[in-house]
Amino acid sequence: MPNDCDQFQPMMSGRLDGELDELSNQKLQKHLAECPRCSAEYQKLARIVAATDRLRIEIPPDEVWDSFLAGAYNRIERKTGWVAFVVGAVALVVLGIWLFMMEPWASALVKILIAVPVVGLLIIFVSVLRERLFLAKIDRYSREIQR
Amino acid sequence: MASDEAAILHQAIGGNPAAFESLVRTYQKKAYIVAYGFVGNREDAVDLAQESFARAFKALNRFDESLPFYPWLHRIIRNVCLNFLRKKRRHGEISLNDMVDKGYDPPDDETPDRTAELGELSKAISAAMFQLPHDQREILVLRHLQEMSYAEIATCLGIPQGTVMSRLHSARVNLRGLLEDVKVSSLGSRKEG
Repeated sequence: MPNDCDQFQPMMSGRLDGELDELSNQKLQKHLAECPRCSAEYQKLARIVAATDRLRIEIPPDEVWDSFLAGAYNRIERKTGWVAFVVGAVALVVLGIWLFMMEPWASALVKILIAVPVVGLLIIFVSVLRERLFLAKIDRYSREIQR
Repeated sequence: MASDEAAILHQAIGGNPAAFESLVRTYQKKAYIVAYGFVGNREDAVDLAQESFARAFKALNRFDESLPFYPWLHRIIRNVCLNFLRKKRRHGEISLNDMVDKGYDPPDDETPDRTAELGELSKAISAAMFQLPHDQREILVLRHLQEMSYAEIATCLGIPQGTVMSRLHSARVNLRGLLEDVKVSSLGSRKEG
């Protein structure tokens, strides 16, 4: 395709979408009349646009929409519950560590009961951290997610 | 932004559940369609749309009321869907349903041949769309399924209108390439009817 045809390429989509300004429209029309290759390209593109316009997504029935809001609220509640649980669990672990270190009265059994969840949490933390670091290197979505 | 939506948003930010409910009702189908464009099946799309509203609810106090609501919601839906795809792809669990032209009402002057031809092409496009990069799939969904103008898409995605046109064009050129690979007959060089 000749170089001067390149500038007309995106304009073809603009024209098919009815979004091209009058001046660009006239330039493109003139070019299409003179360039059989771009004209053929335009015809193919027109078919793709017409066929894509016909796509329809299966919209769920009314029952799904009737319970949609309840589903969203359930998620909000669950998230709130999890946040409360995690904050409470972390506070308990911190308290346990403090008792473990500072209180001589704590029996071996109490110390084991405190140590086991602490070690478990540390293992989970290290595992998640390692996975995140690994994924950050190979993940093709990470740069596209807008924070 | 319409002033009644601004008022509803203001109330929702202030913690009024009825106002938040009204926002959900207004945008739930739009959110579903965007999510479907990313994940390609109904069940996941409904879940992800709900999850997006749950996150939006949590983040509402950080929303800048001088900006339009939908582009902000769209970014949340996009992030939720991309996170989902990242996890799913890691586990190799993506299932896709075709988008279909069921329910499409052809114009009166369209010949049966052309209806059949475009029907075949739509079916092939619905399968090929999921092979496109997600930003191209997203813009096709906004244009063809949400029926947004270039200006609306530009606001929604935070890109200039010229980029909307070139990204849409790239998506269509890639689609054409994918369809030619599978030799879709209706992409022949016949003139427009």
